[in-house]
Amino acid sequence: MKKSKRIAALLMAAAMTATFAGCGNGSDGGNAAGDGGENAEGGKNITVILKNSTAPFFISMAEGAQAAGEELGYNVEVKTPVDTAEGSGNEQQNQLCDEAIVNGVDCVVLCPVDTEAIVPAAQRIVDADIPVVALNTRLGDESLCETFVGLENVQQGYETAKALFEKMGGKGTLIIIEGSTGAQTSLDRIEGCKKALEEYPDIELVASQSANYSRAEALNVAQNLLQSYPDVDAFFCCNDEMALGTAEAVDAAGKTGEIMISGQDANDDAVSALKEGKITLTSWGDPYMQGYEGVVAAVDVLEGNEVKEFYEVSTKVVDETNVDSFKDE
Amino acid sequence: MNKSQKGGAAGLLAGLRKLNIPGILIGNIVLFVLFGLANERFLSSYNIMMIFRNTCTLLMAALGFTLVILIGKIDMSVGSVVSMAAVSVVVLYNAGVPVALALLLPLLIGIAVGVINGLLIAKCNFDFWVVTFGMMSVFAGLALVTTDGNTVAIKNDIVNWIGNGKIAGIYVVIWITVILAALMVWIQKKTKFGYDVFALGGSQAVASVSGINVVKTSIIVYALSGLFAALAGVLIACMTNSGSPAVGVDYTFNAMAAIVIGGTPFIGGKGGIGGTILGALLMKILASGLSLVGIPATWQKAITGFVIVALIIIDVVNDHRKNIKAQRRVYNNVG
Repeated sequence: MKKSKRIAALLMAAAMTATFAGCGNGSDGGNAAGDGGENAEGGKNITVILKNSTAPFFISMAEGAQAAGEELGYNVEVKTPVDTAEGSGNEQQNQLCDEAIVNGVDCVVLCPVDTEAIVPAAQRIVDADIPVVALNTRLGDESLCETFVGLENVQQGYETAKALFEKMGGKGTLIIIEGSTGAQTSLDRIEGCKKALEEYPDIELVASQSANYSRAEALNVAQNLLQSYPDVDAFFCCNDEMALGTAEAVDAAGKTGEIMISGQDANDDAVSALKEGKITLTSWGDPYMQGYEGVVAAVDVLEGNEVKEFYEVSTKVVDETNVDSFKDE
Repeated sequence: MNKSQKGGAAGLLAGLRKLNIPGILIGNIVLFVLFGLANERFLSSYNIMMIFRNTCTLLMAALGFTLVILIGKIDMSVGSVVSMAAVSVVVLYNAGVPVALALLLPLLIGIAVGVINGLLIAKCNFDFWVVTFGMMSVFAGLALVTTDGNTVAIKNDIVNWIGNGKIAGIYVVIWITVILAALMVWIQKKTKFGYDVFALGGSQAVASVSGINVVKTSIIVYALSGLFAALAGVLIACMTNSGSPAVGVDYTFNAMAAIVIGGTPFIGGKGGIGGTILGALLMKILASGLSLVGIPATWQKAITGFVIVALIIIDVVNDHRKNIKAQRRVYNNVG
């Protein structure tokens, strides 16, 4: 009896210290934010809610937002869902919105996972008299946000597809690798691609399948598609991760160089793959500038400056000619 | 730590032990106090209300699921039914179906899925993993097909009122969940069906010999699991004013986690809905608290897992201690 009692007590103590330790670390962060709040008569608090904390695209966006906060003297806190899956992503963004209300921040910059499902949460923020700035992805009800910061995904899809079709010589067969089914960015980029397709009647779209914005899934999907369409000329992928997965599948089939692959976002892996000739081109939506401009827009709203209707961040097609210099231009 | 403190703490622990409070409840209270100390905003009425509100859909999906685990089986289709129901509400309403029907028909879908699961498993003796896994794929797929993969919005005052309205200052979804959870606790504790479920989980053969209709009970259990999963889906549609075909993907595992943390083991026969309620609450307290005290998203998962494992260990050790105590009592009486 004594032994088991001791073990129980030990375990309990261990669990408690561990929780304390966890909270201790966390409370530092919390206090830091709280102090910021108290000092914030001059500087104010902005919460930036992004889609996830794992994709290089959003990491870069978070860096941009934080840099803007430092430069402009605002206290910027970036929050992201723990789970990246689409359904729970929205649920957690809902929770983060409520948290922003609880913390009494001054402005929320929101990049929604699901444009429609976030609307009631955005409504709650607005009801609490906190202005909302939409970043990267528009809200289902645009009357809820002060302004929109980002690029037009339709336009990015269009320009990327057009550059790809030019490289194909205006003819051949095409496969689209879609992002997460239902994700607005994916729908928009596909729309842009289809708009470009109309201008190139000799290019035939033979298949279009989703790989959930994931490299591993794209590898599988592309492998299957290459079985069904071994003669395909090009893949149009809705992001770089999937382009890299597709590139691996094409590599495994021994067709690197024969089949053109376009990605989007120009993340570091994709840029090096582009240099190696594994993918043909990608396009840069400049996530860093998106995050930066998001905070700039929030500051404009808070300081009563003139607020533009749309803070546009431009798209740039990246291929072998400008791969070393595109970020400097 | 000095001597008197040590004695005080030990005395407190001993006192708590006599009360025989389940580990999960202690866990809830400890976390609540800790998060409250770390950030007083955690205890604001708005945040507490939001924790309850966020718990609603998870608990709803876990209510029926608990019965399935109590009879020693699994229902992998829960998450897909959640998605399917959420999507159905929106699609039906947008197709011109009256709002009351649009809210009720998805529940029938849930019950139907449950009955099919139950029939195949209890009547035809198929493996429950295979059957419910199949159903999971079927309905995850159908949900995608129904809206062509898109999230579809729904604009209706009644739907919005159920999801975001309040009665007496408390969200309607919270009222609905509390009432249904209380009803399920009552069914589990006071009805013959409730006893049958526990008997079935203990031993199907013994239950059968003692005159319990195993097939009928299993079918009702699965039907309830489907019904509550569908209810969760309907609530999600109301709360988000939209239906997304991917919304339920995580519900199967999260509900399972809430149930197991709540003290219902996979072998079935013990535990119950009371524990599940606390388990679901614990998961949402953790999610809200960790985020509110400023722990980065990248760390939250690991810490959540650690706390869960710690709680389960405490529960197991406690059980073990109780068993030994009981055995000792028997020996003493014999001796």
